[in-house]
Amino acid sequence: MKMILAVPVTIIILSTPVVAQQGEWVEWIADAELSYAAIDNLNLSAFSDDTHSDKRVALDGIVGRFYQFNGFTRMSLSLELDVEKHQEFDSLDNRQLGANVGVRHKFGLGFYQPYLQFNVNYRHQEVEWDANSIDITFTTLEFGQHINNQLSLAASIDFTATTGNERPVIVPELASDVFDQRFIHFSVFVDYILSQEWLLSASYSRRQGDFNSSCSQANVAKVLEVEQVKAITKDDVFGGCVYKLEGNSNIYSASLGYSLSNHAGLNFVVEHYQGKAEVLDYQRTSYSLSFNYRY
Amino acid sequence: MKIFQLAAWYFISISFVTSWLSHANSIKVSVVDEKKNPVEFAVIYIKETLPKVSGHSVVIDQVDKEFIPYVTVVQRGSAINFPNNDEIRHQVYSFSKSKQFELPLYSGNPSSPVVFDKNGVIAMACNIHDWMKAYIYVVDTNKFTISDKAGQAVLSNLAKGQYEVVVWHPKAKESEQLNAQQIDIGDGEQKLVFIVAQKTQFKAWRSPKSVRRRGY
Repeated sequence: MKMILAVPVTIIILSTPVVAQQGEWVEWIADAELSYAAIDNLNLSAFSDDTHSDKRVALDGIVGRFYQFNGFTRMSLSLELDVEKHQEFDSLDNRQLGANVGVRHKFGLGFYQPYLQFNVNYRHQEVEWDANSIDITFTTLEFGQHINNQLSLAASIDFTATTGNERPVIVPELASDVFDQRFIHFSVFVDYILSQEWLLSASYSRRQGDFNSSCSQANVAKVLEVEQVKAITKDDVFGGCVYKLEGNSNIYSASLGYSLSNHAGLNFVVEHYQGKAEVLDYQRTSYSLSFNYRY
Repeated sequence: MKIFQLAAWYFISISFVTSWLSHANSIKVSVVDEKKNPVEFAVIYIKETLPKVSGHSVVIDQVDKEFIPYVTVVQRGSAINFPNNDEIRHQVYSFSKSKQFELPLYSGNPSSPVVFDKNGVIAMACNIHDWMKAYIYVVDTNKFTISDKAGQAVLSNLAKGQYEVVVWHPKAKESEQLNAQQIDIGDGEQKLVFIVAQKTQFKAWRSPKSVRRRGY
């Protein structure tokens, strides 16, 4: 972790002009997003006869403020509150309270100068079925640049650690800490302005590390036979077992944004998750429509 | 003697009225694109070469993280003040050939205005807020105007004579960056229509995107 922090901080300090001006608090951050999503295979099951779909409404809010160090570097401090309500699986309804610290540095003067952004985010997710509540910490380093007036590219790496509650052991030789996970995302983001009202965005993420899947009791034996399961416990939400694996996943996302004003927009997002462990495939697709407001 | 005094007053009055009338002429300009839609922010000016001015100042404001106005036209030698009426700081800059300048991060009023003493287009922006963009057009005349939302503008107080009227727009296609027409000014108002083919020009995206999982 020290290395992760040391690299961006060093780059930022080294490339900041020597004559730094006095910093001060500047813009307030006040964002809200209301979204509606349809998710298939909510339980990320590897078995087609064992998948559960659902729809959910989410309200996300962020409040905070930027601190401007100089013309090139700014820091953001923000608090985040998210509320999710599921249509069918209401035991997955949850609230998330989090905090984020970000530092963004632009490498010089001008529209085409690249930037480096570093974020540390902590959040507690309290799930209606409390056994599923988790703490999430992630650290992100993002590098991006405007390529021309329409096209912007960014690449990021983020490290995520989640910690869950104590869960009952159901297979003596296996752990039960299914929600204690470590994983990394390597991502690339493309934004393309179609017109001053329409923005097309796409991203690809390669996720490496732990993920969890749920399946019915009938499929547990098949999983244990072919996969290197790291932990398993009973799943009170979907009625079977939930288990932790290590594997690689590809996450494809595309979104179309419509600008309602300088401060509000509509976004339609499609995301496809394609996970793979030893043998089985884990796939999920979600569609979401959101209204976003930024102060 | 009285007759001579009356005659003198008569000639003075006539020449004053004639002179006033000759300057009361104007050109009403309409600027449209290829589809006949009105074009706002077109700079319209009379082509002539006047010496640069001094002591003339203009304001380009910054409100709600936008430059106001989007397009400004000034005579060569004019000074422009860039007050920042946002409660945050901006960093204004331009890399344009006609004027390169930078106002390091500031709030309120900068200590001194920027003098524009070379003709041409100056594209300016803010280094903190990438979508903030505006244009300054520096000309050698004091006879200029900018089209409104309806694409209309008036060049007034023109003496009788022949003029070349030039139109410039930041979104004009390269081949039509300068669009000119000759006109003979007589008495009263004359009309000109300019068709300025527009290219699509983009500002950086400002509207909010999905906030999920993407920290500030």
